[in-house]
Amino acid sequence: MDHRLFWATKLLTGFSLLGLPAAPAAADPMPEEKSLASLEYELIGIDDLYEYKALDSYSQAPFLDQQVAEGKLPPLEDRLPKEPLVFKTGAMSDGIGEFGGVFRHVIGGRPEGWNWLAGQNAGWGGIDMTVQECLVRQGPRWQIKAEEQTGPLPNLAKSWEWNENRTELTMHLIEGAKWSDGDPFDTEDIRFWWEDNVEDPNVTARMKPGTLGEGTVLTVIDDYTFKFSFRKIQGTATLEALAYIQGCPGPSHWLKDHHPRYNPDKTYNDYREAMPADSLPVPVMGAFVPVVHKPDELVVMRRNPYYWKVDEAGNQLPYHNETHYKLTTWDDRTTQAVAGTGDFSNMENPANYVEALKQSRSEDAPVDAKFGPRTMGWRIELNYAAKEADDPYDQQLRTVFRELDFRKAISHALNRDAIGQAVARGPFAYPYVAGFLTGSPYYSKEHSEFQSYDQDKANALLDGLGLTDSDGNGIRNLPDGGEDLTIDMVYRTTRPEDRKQVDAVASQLAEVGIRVLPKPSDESAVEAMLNGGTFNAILKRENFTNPTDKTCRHLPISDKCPLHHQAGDQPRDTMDFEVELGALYADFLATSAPAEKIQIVQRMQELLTQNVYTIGTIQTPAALLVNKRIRNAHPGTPVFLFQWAEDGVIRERLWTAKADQLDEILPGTIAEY
Amino acid sequence: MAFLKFLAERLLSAIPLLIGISIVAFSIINLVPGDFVDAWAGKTMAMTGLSEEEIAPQVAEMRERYGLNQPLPVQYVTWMKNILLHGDFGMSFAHNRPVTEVIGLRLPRTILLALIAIIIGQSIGILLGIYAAANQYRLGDTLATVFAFMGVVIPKFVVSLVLLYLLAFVWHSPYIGALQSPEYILQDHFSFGKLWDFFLHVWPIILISVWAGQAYTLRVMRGNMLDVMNMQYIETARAKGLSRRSVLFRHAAPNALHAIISDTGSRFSYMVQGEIEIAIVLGVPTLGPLILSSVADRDMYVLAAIVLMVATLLVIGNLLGDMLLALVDPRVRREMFGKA
Repeated sequence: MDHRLFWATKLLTGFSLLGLPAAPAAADPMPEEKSLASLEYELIGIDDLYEYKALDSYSQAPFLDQQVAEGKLPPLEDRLPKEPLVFKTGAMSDGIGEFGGVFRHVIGGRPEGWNWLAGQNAGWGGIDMTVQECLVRQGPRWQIKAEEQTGPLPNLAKSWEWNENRTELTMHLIEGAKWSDGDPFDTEDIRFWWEDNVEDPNVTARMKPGTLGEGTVLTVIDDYTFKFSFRKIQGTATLEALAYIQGCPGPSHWLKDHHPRYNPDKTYNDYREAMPADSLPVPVMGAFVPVVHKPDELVVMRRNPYYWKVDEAGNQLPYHNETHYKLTTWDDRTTQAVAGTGDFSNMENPANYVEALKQSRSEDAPVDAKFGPRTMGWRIELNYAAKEADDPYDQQLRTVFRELDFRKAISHALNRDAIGQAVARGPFAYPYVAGFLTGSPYYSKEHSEFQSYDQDKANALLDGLGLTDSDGNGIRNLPDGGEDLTIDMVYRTTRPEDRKQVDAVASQLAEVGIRVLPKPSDESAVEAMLNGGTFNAILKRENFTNPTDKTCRHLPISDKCPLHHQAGDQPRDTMDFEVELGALYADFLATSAPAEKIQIVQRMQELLTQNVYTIGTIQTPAALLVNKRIRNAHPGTPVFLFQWAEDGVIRERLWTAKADQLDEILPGTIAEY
Repeated sequence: MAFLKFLAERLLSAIPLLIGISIVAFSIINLVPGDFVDAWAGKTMAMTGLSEEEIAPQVAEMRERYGLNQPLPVQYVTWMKNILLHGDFGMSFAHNRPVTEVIGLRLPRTILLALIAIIIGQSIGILLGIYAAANQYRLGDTLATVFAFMGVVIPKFVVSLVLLYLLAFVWHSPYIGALQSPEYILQDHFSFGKLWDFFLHVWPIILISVWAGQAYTLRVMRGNMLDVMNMQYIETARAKGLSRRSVLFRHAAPNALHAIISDTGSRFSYMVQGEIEIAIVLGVPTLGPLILSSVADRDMYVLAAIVLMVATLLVIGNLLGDMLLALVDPRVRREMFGKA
């Protein structure tokens, strides 16, 4: 096992081992990244995490023995698949666990209903991920070293193979796994998911028909094997689409009766509401089964007695017997984690980091703050769609934005250290320009160009563009004696750190003669502006760590992407480097060779930073707040990298020592259908 | 009869007021660009990594299903029609359940907490007011005045934040962000354990509401008492040799209470507003956090219905205040209903 500091350092070492070409000398190198001692953790090989195999013997939570004895449940061996998914002890920070106890979530989301196949949301904050298991898995990928990043990890699909020209993908399901009500999980669930949901135009499934390419056909080969046939060559992104939240089959045996294709008495609205939020339990493949929902108060889940994952000692997971979702507010999530009444929270507000760190170091504090790699970045996006501007001023302004020297000037005018300290005191913030964040396995310091804080350089670049203060009022004017150079900068009011940064940017740009007008907007207004391309500049948080995640926010891959350069009625005035970026992304999708992928993303990083495609400000880590009694929450688990921490921390593996276990609300029970 | 006529007149006059409030509320909610589906799309993309293009079909389907494609006046008229004809306040988009159900869970909690706070707050305010008046310019009066003024000038959200910090960061209280502990949430029957658990969760809200709420009452009561105590009949009572306690509580206090009682309606609205403000900070599941989340989610029918319901409560609160005053004061009774 490797033992290194954090992603950036590790990956750079990894890249050099691969003998990749050295990067061209950058004009301004990235400054040294300050170390956060708590970021030390281990990365492992892809085979070190888990495998599928039969073990000599298995054991279950003791109270289930009683259920088996009473005939309420079949014996464990009959409930487990032929070859369960086996988590390896070496990849667990606290090793094999003890059965029992409760894991408590606090969330702001609310269960809309349990029919995720029809697009219903069971509640953000981990409920969805608890009940849904998907064909492949993204979350735990953060723990895999860069040299072995080949794509998503197996899950319900234990293996797969491509045909030679990558137009066919054959997947093999885990054999003998069962839904939580004991019904077999097989390719009928896959067929139902695909044909009666994804491909049924009357169902608004999470995946739409063209997601895997227009004309994709699914063929069932046998009970545990199926095949996708594609019209075009496919790659990593196709596999990633089969992870949460799109590639998660539902219980066909339960849902068919509610689907109009199988039951003419039902409407599609009936189908959508086939598993209402209050009607429990429902069959799931996840580690816990929702059994009680008290609207606006609490969801209680009990262990799934048919869960198909075990540890190396043969203990059927999960270790905890019960999990709670207290339905409160998102803000309350962190408060309760700190108070010790919640066990898990993502802390993404850097202003609280110092206090949280101090708190977690105190002996009587119930919570531990686990800082991950820097995967939160803030950046200014300038709208390059000059032709789409509503009025002449905006058009002129956006034309100026398209000048590389202008973008560099803005970047040089930003004192990122000062911005960082305004957002989070201490060593948390690190400068960010554009491209991948340092917490990404695809980040390369050598391929990043930096514009250091230099007001003289900024002024010279702006003067060179003819943006001078022609009317002597202290604000530069647009070329040829135009209006004052005033940039209206949108930001989300819900994020205090965004506001702080806009304030800092406004005062720093004022020093080089550019006026920034902060434009606070709520979430829905921001989304409307982003989708319509009706903004000139926006400062927002974007976590760019993986080229295939939220790609449309980062790369010019279609007429609507990125949102700060959308085509409208007329064709887009694409800049040269944007063409190359689009081509690189296509290349990235077409290959599964890690070394080739790394070369492609390094070139992307060069283009994104050299052309200052966005003007980054700072990047910070986020922290996981985990109650100290919870074991196996791996150090370094990022709040988001490949997937949210609820998936990345592998909750089915978490456990609590007997002495620390909390009382269960429904001890000795399982879901009864 | 006169009482019923008065009541009917007051209630009828409230209808145009409530309709006006509903129009203003509905318009203000929709002034900001974007709607629930935009907010939903933003959250969904952030949570799932799906792109705008990938969620476009769901966005279109949701707009259609929720009627958000229709012009605003049509949406308003449909909403009002359903309220008046069917008592249907619409659906909460975020909760996927009727607005009445969503609010129905929380409104009684808000009213209960506000009522508890008003009863305790008024009682403390009245008693401290009497005490301060009886001890004018002495240490007790000064202390009571300082206590009252602090309650008024320190914003409730600041006190709430301080208390939240103490509860969460210092005391690591297990009783935050809820009205009951999980084990009692599933317990449908009453028990003293459940009641005690409820108290352990809500005392911070009640404490802050009471502190802020008693201040005004204390000041008004003190002033009224001082006025009343200078009147002749108080002199007479003293001259008759009545005890100090008897003069204060049997003769002065009842006559000093008028302003307090007539103001009970507005005090109730103050307590409801206060409860909402404090609950938002403390994350207690009453109306406050629901208002906040509905604003963030643009869950417009929930928001509009809350405005309408709170406005109705205030109208009723004011009406009750008037009724109460008429009950204790024959002069007011005569003025309102034409007889004593």
